[in-house]
Amino acid sequence: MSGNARSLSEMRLGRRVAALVLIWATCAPAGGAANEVASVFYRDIQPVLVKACIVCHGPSKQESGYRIDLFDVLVRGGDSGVHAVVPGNPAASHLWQRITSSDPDQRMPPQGTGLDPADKERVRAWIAAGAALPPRGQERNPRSDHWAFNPVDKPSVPRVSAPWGRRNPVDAFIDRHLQATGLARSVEASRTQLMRRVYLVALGVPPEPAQVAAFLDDHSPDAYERMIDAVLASTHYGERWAQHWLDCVRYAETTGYEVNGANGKIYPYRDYLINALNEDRPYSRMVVEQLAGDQFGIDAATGFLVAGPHDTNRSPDPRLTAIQYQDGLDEMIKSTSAVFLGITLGCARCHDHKYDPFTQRDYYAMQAVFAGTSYGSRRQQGVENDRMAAAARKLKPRLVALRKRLKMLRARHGLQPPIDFHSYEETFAPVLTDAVQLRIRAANDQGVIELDDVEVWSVAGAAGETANVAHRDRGARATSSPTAKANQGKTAELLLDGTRQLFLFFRSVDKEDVWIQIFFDRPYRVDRMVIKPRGVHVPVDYRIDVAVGDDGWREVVDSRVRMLHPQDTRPAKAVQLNGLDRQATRTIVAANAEMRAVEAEYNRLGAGPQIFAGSFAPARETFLMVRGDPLGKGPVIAPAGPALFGAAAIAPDASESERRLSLAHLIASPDNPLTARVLVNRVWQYVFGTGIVDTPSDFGINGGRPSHPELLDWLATRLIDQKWSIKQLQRRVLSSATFRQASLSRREAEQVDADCRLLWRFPPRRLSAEAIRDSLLLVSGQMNRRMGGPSFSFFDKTTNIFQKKQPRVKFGPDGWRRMIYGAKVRLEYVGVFGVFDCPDASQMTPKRTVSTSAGQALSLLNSPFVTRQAEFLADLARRKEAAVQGQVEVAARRALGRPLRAGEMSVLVEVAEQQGLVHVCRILLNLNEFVFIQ
Amino acid sequence: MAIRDHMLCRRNFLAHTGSGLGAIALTHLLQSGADCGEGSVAFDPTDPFAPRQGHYRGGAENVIVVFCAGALSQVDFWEHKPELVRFHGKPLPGNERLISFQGENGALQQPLWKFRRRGACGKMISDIVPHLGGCVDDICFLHSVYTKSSTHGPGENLMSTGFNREGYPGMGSWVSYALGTDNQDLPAFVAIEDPRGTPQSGPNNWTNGFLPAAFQGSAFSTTRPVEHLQPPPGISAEANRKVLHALNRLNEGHRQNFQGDSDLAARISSYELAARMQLSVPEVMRVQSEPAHIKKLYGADSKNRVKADFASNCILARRLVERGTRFVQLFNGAYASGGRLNWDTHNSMPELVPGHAEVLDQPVAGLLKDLKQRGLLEKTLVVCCTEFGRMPMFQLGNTGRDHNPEGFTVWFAGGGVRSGMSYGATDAFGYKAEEKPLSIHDVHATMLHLVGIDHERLTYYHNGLQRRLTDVHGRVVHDVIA
Repeated sequence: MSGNARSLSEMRLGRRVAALVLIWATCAPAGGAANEVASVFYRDIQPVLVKACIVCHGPSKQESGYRIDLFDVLVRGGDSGVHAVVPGNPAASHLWQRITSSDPDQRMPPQGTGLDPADKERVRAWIAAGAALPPRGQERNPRSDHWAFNPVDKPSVPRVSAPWGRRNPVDAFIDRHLQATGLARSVEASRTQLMRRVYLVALGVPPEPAQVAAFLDDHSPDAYERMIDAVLASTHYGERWAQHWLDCVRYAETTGYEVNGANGKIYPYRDYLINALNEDRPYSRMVVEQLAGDQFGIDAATGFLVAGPHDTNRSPDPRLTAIQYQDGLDEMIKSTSAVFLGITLGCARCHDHKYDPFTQRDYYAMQAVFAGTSYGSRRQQGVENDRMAAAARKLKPRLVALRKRLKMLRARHGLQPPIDFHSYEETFAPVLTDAVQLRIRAANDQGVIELDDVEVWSVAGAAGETANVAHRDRGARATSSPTAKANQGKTAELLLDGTRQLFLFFRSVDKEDVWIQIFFDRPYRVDRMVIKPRGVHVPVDYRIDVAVGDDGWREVVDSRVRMLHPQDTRPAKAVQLNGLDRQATRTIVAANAEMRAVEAEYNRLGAGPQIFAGSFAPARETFLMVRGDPLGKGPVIAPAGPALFGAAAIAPDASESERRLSLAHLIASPDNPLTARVLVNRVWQYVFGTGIVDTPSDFGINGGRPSHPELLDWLATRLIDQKWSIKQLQRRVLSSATFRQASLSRREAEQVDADCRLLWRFPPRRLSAEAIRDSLLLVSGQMNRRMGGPSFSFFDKTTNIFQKKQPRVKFGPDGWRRMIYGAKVRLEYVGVFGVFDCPDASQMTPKRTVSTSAGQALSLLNSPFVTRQAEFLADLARRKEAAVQGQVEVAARRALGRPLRAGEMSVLVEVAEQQGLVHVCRILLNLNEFVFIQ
Repeated sequence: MAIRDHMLCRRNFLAHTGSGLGAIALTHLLQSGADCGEGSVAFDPTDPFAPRQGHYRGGAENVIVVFCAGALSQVDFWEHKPELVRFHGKPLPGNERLISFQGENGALQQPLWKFRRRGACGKMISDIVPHLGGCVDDICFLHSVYTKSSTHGPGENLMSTGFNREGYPGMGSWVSYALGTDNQDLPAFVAIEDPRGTPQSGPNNWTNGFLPAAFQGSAFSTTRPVEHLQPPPGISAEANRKVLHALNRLNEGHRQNFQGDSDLAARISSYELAARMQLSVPEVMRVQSEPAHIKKLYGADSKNRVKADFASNCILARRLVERGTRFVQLFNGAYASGGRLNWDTHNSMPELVPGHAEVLDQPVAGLLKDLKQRGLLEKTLVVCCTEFGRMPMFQLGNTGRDHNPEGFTVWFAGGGVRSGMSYGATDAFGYKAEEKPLSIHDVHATMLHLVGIDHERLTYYHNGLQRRLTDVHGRVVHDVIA
């Protein structure tokens, strides 16, 4: 390794020391001296100690006898006998010594690289200033008194001066923090840049040249506001913002895990979100619908519950099956708690939450809420369902008549009833024998034969009770014509295990003249055989023989005395029924086929339209699983929301749907301290790149602290007051002067707040994968704006479900729809655009990582997809202008939304003349300016 | 799939930021360092692969993981069980009708190939791997590993990422996040897929999970080129150079207005790096340029096409670590296919396994020998693993073994490992880890320790927790460290 390599254990750089200490120090609420002391401690010190120490030095564990939640112990110290805190003297304080120790064995906390420098500085300052603590008896529970679990405040708008003018109250909250650190907002960005920013943020695509021209021509004072209104009214708005929500819920169209097959029709959930956002459905309503939409005829919304990965691989292994059941519900608990509430309840599966006031009981109480929810396709209520149900009712008489006709035909020819495809019995006159033989001439579908089990029963009598003598435990043996070798062998021995086992059954190689012989341990008097087919590949033309003496086999049963099974799909020429001529056989086969077709249609109509969404059945009993062990059943747990939110709102005997509805209302309540805050923060994050809380799905103690707590609460309050309208919230944020400021960097501000958490400018950022692809298509003029419906595929079809998918290279108009309409496949990265930090939906991704890589450069530069779009853009420009310079101008205006400067123009014209216009377009689509929101 | 992870080095970054600008950008970095880090590693977001030192000095510098996808049978290959021969044909005592993944098991089945003593250490090893048998003095066998899942996808996830669920960073991602890499013109973490196809969990084996995408493994092999590395057909190298030049000019002009924004500079540099990779990647892929005796050592000259291709992948792995790539995950075996394309032999083991063993044996033995003769083995940790083991019984009515998460073998070689030793054991029949059992987390903790990383101190914040490769578990097995 190179000599100047930096050490891994190097402390994190002091990035926030300057800014955030100041932020928090300047925002102390007014109050008396004692209040002041309490608030400094609670605001600056306790959260730091709780986050770093409480797992080992708190209510549940007191390593070395030390705990930070009781003030006297916090100061006095633990078993070491050394004072932990010596007021006024950090150097003499054991607490300070331990958190600053350079010895990794001494340094606290022991994991990671220690406390953040800013946090250290807070602790030091507090001790140095006398380590003031709130008065005795006023200790707050550091867990449940965490800011995010307290009711939303209704802060008043701060009164501060506004050097650059103010557009709405949002700016006052921002200015207050900026001014406290000696910073100021930037000037307003140019109108061209602003419009592009609004489009990219709100719609995920740039404006078209005509839209830009119209906006620049509009000189009315409210031009900007009307532009915002038009943007929020665009259907592209829902497409852009639904993608953010889908990230949070890790929506995909495949199951994940080993099989990773298609989920079924899950896209109605995606379309529900797009429509709900476009209609500005109240957020509280969207919460309820996603958890219990089936109660209001909005089944698609419950796709939320089953959007996560789930294991469809079935096994007889009881432990594996139990893990799969628990994991399936775990995904629902994790997403419900994280997405709506910003809490990490999933951490309490095996033990109480290490940081937040959530117990293992809370976890399983929520499991009880979902204990009737499963992954699968279900009927979608609505107009289509009603139409299909009516059609089914109409078809019913015809089906009844066809069945009656078959019954009549059977009676006319004196045939026995058809077999049952899952289990049936053939009886014969009692016979003493030591072996039986099944000779199979055909399966119902003329394929290979499958059977789960065969029993042969002895006659009760002097020898004893009746018994299945064709069982391996009685010493029976079986042999057969060749069996399938693939995977599990599927030999005749498996017919004698007395059980149906998922993978252990008999499967022949041949499709006809299959035989199975079963030898008993000794002769028995037998009179019946029980045959257990598997519902498919069922033997329908067979004989049963018994062994008699040395003469060989004697036939005792011939299936041709039975009526044709409704699912017997053999053509008439392959069917033989005893005593029937060809004509009669053909009549029965035809009648059967007609009945089958009508029945299939009847069943299809009766099932209604099927979508993949929450499927519900009566809730299973829920147990607390000891240490999270899927087989470690503890006490029975009743359904409830987290105890933190007050008394259980769910009756212990509530029905399955009542459970979900109650939880939904608990979450969607204006009194819930988290729901509105979490949503406001998500919107803020997707506008500015970073949330007011930078851990958007974790508002707990281990999460980030809000940079602007009053603003968060003010916006949350406004959201609730304005009927949970997300568009109103968007309008407020997008209209603010904070949003409208320039994005240019300023050195003096960089030095104080490099992360731009205080928003002294609009922080530029790279576009997401979806926005890059969508923008390419829009600029090239090829975007297909069709909304909703089945998704297009990013991958070529595979022949084997286990085979990994290959990225599709060539797309047509269907694949030129917005990227949200491409089927998300778990465990795979989308070709070309996957490299732009596009998640594969395995995990909830409330905040995408942003990285820059050579792979991204290669994709945009060399992929056939981008090259083709560049060609389209070049064609478009050539159609509009004859001269090269004009063509370059057209292409640039489409890509960048602005005219080129002279220097730029000359560079590009040279490329156009020497290499061709398509290369100019490739350059435009690779520019930083094209892929950044600025 | 494209190389996704190659980012920028400071050298280029500064080269591109004319006079004075570099200094500004650097100030920014020193104050920020934030967008790249919610974890324990301090790194420069515009230079994520700068070599970094681990928590401990010494140990291995590179890692090659040979992943036998589909679950390789420990009792037929690595762990000698005399009792299994003695009890052949009898049910497993105490678990007579054990239900496992595919259902009921049949009788105990003795190893399908003979075991014999090999090497100076006298290790008993199966005849099915004669070449690896010749390497036992360089190998440290861990015979007592157990896992938490008996299905391939979750099993592979756990072995590669420490979690049986999806979306957690792979071990190569963690290691390159911690240590960066020594060659800035090649990916830090390369996943080499088997010539027969992608393993069951596919890219989840080399995903960056919630780590920055820079640390995602790049999937390419001798049979699968790097995607989009070269311009599409019909575009000349000359045209492309001109395009890059013009692009750079325009981007530089634009950046003048956004001084201090390192993201823009980083993106400009990424195009430079892409251009360099267009040279460095084809160079490292030029396995055919190796001398004949080297190809012969690995079996790359074999008439067996699959074996020759896998051997070429092994040579590629060596060429990568030789040039400074930090972590290579080399797959032997593809996806579920009834045991045809990978080790998942539920049936017909006597017929299927020799073919798979032939593909594995000589190439991997060749890799060990070649690393050793070049002096690379001492600084390269080689790990041979699989997602779980197989049962000591045949499945009921069959000639294959079912999944066995209860006990199996992983082996280490090189990179500071004690060689010629065996650690731990399964029970008398090869079913359950019994003597000094090792979780996957223990294997990971030990692996990280060997490259100088304390597994408890390598963390990254995600959805509520500082996550680790080893979850909240893991114990370093000091007994296997030289």
